[in-house]
Amino acid sequence: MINIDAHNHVSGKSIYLDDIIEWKGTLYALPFDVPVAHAKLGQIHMSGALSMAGVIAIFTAKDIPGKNQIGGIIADEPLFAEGEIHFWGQPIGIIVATSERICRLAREQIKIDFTALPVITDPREAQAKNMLICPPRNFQMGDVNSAWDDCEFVFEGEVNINGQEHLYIETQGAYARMKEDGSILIASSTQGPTAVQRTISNVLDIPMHKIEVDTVRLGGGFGGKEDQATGWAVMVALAAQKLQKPVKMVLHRMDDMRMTGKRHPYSADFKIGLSSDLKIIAYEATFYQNAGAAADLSPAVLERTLFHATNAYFVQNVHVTAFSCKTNLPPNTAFRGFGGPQGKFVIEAAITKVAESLGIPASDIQKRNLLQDGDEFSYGQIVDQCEAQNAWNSCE
Amino acid sequence: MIEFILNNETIRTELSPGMTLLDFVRYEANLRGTKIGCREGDCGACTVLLGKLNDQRIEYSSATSCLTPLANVHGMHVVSIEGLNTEGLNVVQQAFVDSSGTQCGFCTPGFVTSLCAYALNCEKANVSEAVGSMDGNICRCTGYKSIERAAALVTEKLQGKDQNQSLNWLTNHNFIPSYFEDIPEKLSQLPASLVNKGHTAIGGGTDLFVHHQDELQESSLNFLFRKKELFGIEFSETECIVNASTTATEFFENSRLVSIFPGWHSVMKLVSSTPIRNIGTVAGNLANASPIGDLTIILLGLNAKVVLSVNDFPFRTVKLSDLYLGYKKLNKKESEIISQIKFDLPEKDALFHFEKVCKRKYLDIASVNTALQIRLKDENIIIEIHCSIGGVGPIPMYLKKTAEFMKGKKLSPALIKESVEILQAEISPISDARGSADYKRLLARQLYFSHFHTMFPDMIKLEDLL
Ligand SMILES: Cc1cc2nc3c(=O)[nH]c(=O)nc-3n(C[C@H](O)[C@H](O)[C@H](O)COP(=O)(O)OP(=O)(O)OC[C@H]3O[C@@H](n4cnc5c(N)ncnc54)[C@H](O)[C@@H]3O)c2cc1C
Ligand code: FES
Ligand code: FES
Repeated sequence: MINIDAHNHVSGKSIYLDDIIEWKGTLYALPFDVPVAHAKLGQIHMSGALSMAGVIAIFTAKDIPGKNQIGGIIADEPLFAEGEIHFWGQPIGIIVATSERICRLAREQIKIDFTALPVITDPREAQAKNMLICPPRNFQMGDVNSAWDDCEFVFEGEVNINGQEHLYIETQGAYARMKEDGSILIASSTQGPTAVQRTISNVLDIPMHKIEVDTVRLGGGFGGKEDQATGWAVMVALAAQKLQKPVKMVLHRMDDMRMTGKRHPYSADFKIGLSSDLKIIAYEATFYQNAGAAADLSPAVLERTLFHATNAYFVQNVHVTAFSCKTNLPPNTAFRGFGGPQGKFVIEAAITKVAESLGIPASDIQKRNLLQDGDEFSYGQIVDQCEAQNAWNSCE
Repeated sequence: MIEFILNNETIRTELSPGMTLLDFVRYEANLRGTKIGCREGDCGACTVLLGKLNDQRIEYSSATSCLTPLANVHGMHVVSIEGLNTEGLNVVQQAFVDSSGTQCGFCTPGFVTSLCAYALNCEKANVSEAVGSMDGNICRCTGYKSIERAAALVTEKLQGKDQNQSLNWLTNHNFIPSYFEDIPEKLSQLPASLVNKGHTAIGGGTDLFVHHQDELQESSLNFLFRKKELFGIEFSETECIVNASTTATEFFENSRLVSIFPGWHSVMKLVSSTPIRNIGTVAGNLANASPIGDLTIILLGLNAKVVLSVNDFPFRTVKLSDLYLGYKKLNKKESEIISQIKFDLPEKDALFHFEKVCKRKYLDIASVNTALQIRLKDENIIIEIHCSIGGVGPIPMYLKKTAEFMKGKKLSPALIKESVEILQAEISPISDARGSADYKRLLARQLYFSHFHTMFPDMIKLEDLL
């Protein structure tokens, strides 16, 4: 299938956010933060930056007309840090100036007082301290506790899965302009235009019908612009409303990588039991999701981990539990697979451990346990029109 | 005033010579097809073509516009994706469409431009070189296989390219628009050299511009890249003379050097990427004083000297190994520039080898890199030896004591094992993002062994070393 945009792409004619020819009088915005992952926020010294030629304004939490809140699923994430900093890269405010370069030079002049607080980056430590984004979730089927006795082999282990940067080649960005009657037109490189519209409405305290979100195309998102595109859009909308001027922000790669969340790192414990003929009888796992400093999409990602916890295998006794742990990392977010890969990785690690311990190929265990029509998942769904065996056979 | 041709238009500008070409193309010329992904030379979204006139012939190469100061394109033909468009699509663009080599499309102009550079440059097109021409481009969407298929399609279409009339052939075969044929004539009318009397020396900008774009725009810079007297590689009876603005590509593709050093070309592939090599200079690599500079390690291994000039006059010559005093500290005054690098042409029986290990094989800086040059005489007595190593101390190191120990002795596994002790005493690696101190010591040992094993496979067996 040929991508219908291909002609424009290959000839450089496709228009991404930063390719919109600027309206006259456009101002540029840049977020600023402090290099600390957890701290009590003190005074923000802005006079040096404000006195620079070309600097128009600096906006922080106190300039927000509506709610200082951008959380999508759970209202736990301020647009601009207020009182405390919860991750390195958390925006404290934005500088607005006549050029991006002036913004960057001005950012070096802002001094921020803070008192550092203890930092948690390990999800297990957060869980032990009961720092959770939402109540734990667990799926159960059969009875693992009584099943272990029926197993010929039982193995346990710990798995650690690292995060991953989206690295969409087009960095985050948004461009806002006032229209008549207090309406705002905002171009946003977002996977969630409605989230942008709803959140601007809350933060700016204007009705949703006054906000028009224009998203023609993205230079990659992979989940990284699902919830995480919203904040930047709200910031430029705020500045446009305050200054009644077009305001644009396109993040520098370094700011983007520092300030945005990534694929969730997970830590997990597993216990797997098999019969002598390699049928997986029981599987138990506990997932510690490193959610970062705010919910973002973590609860939904967490659920998907559980949905995929047994991957493409049928296991009759399952008990899987997942904690969404609040740490001082940028809020982790959607990323291709949306928690599924982490769930699958742990059972694959368990199978690999069994295989290595027994000195057999992992494929013997995988093949033996593939799903079939009529099997049940731990969340109650009955398997129908299953292609697992066919797919396996055609690969063999 | 800086003058150049952008696509089919002559540009004369008084804008800051230290502004990036990328910003000029996108925000002054408003050609938004050239994208920004990193501003650090890593992603290739900003790739443009630079065409320079060499006698009457024009040579095109890909370059990262994000690291190229405006002054560096003075007198050149700069081509953005818009300048490659023909009626409909050109052959390279069509190949990307036909092989589904584009998805979100953000990286695509960069890939197309790199592959067009290949079409313009190649002599006998082959797929692996065509794919290699895009080694400085990252795509996060498509999966590279479809892009490789595009390269294969292009390679096929390039069979039969007429080398003598290449612009004309490429125009007739819809690789490039026809205005390209008028460019050499137009370029020859632009003033040749840029007059500049700035302070800080700058070559290709591939080091300086990674971190200092904002300051550089206002700094007083001494642009060396387009200085005619600093171009090219010369040979005397006994010496190779590399003038300061020689790019890494010119260094590695020099036909004489390729014939002298077997494997020279495969070494090149380990150094940055095509668009970076096309603009990064040899002198810039040396002056940057990075402890892991690849060209630095190679030239230290060749026991090179550098000529330092003041106000265009050669002032003194120092051994490269004496240039480095401490971390990023050079035995060189601010007013001195490196104008030439010289090394003795190796004797016929000399052997040279370079090794580099990084976290990933390509487009990465070294954890440890090392070069060794050696000559044996009858009975395998070492009559000349130079060894350099990077990443194991604050400066790129010339292993003086190790070499002194080896010289005059008979080469054998036992001698190599003995000398590695001296090597270990000479180096002082620290633990950092590139690896732990212990790991780097291990690498130093293994790569040192590898030199001898590779150069003398029959005499030096790995099992005798371990
Ligand atoms: C993506 C990427 C990948 C890279 N990969 C590698 C790699 O694999 N290996 C490697 O070795 N390097 C690598 N580099 C670094 C860089 O490309 C090289 O060091 C290059 O040779 C620098 O040359 P330049 O002319 O661009 O230097 P510039 O940036 O122009 O200058 C570098 C320094 O040298 C000084 N200088 C330049 N010319 C002179 C002169 N003639 N006399 C005195 N001082 C001078 C400048 O003042 C500056 O301090 C990479 C860079 C990038 C962006
Ligand atoms: S913008 Fe990434 S290489 Fe230039
Ligand atoms: S097509 Fe999206 S980055 Fe290459």
